[in-house]
Amino acid sequence: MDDYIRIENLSYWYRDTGVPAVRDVDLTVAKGEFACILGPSGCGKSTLLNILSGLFTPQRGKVTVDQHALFEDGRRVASEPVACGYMFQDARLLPWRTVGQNIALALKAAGFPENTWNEIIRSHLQMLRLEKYESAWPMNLSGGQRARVAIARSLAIKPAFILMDEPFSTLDEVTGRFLRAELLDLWERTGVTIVFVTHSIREAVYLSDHLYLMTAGPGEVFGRETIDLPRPRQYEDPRLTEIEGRLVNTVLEKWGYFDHKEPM
Amino acid sequence: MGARVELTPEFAPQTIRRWDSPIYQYLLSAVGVGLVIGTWFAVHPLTRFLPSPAEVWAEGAILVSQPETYASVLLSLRRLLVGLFVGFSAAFLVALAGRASSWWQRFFSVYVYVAITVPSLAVALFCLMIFGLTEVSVYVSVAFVVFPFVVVSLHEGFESLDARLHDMARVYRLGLVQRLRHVAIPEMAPSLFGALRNAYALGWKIVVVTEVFSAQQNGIGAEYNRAYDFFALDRLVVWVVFFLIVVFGVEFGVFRPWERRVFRWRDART
Repeated sequence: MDDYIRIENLSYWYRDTGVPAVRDVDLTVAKGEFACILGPSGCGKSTLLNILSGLFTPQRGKVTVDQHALFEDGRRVASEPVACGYMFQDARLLPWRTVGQNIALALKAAGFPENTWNEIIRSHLQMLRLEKYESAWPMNLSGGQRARVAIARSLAIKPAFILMDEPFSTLDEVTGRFLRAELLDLWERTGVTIVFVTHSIREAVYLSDHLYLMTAGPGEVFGRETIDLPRPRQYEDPRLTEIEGRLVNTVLEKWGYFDHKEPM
Repeated sequence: MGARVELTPEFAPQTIRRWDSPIYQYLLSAVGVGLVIGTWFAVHPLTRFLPSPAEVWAEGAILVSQPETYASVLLSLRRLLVGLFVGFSAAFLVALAGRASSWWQRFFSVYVYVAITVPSLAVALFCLMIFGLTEVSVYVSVAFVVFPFVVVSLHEGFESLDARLHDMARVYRLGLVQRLRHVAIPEMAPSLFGALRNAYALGWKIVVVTEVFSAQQNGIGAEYNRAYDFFALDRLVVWVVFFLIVVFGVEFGVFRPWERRVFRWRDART
């Protein structure tokens, strides 16, 4: 199997408190795959992304991307930093820089020569139907538009992969659905590898090729689901509902909700 | 059944209250100034020492035509800027050290409290005794007086830094210079402007006080001193007006436009 991102036996605990966040995680993502990590709040999903993006150094385990080791046994392996796009829960744009400048900054930091910025910015804004807003201030955009700028920024740097941390959870339902469909479309057009973290089972089933199930914190990966429904998918597709129902039963047990079970 | 949309208050057309319009503001300021000058007109014949507005105007016209006047203003301005630069630099280093470790913060906090509390007049006298009647005395006085206030402002600015933007900058591999220029400094801009304004206003006062005491031959404070020696009240008034012009000139000519530019992302249409 083509293991583009490979995480082996990974553990991380918070340095100041010693509280474990993730434990013995094994996970592989193929190139061009849309992988979702599904877990309850506080299960260490974000920690995993922070490790993949290079913000946190894990104490144990190995992380390789495209056969280049990033971390090995708690050490950061000195190598070229992997360019990764990141979408946070909020769009996290600099409010005092215009939409175009926000993307330009990421391009500059990623080492793109200055004479290429304009073209890259324009094409990516076009792809997200934002070309009108290149010189707009982020504060003047709607939540959905800001999220799309964040998508444009993460794609523009030609990343090895894009990490997404519940990026649509703060948006309203309609905007969220619209953006999920748009994201899938972009993913198919660009072939980029995406690791998407969410606590919404429906969202995960709708988006992913493979879906990793995590326990409540400290998080362990306890299952891998393959969602082999054909694309494009419909959010209301009854087959999604069926998979969702099956997963709910699996997950509830692990997430520890049976102690105070609600009638279903 | 037809639906009828009722406008919620914030969308209902608003009547702009007259008192909020800028024209009223200017008018009110003009009335304030007019009142003072009117009182002056009425009162000056009753005293033996108050010059008439006309005399002051004439004195002002003479001073405006003399190049020495501008030299004095520029000299004071130079002293202020050097002092501010030194004070800001020291405050920046101390604030940075305090941010880096709480040990340094505790270490420096006593200096900051003492520096805030010591009367600025005493600071000026100290400096004159230690450094003599030199330029250095003025520089050090200004630096010492503004230093603690700048430290406090910078400290507040550091507190307001958002870890989430910092994470974003790290994920996208922005270098140190880029993080400072595009993330930290814009984030701290409100505190930086606050610090600059306060330091500027405070600095002017201490420059003038030190100049008065140091028996400098030139500078705005020296002009005050000379006016006092000759009991030339008209000249004193003129120099106070010059002082106001310089201070307001920088406020309206430099600080306000600069601030509008830096914060233009805020008052864009919502």
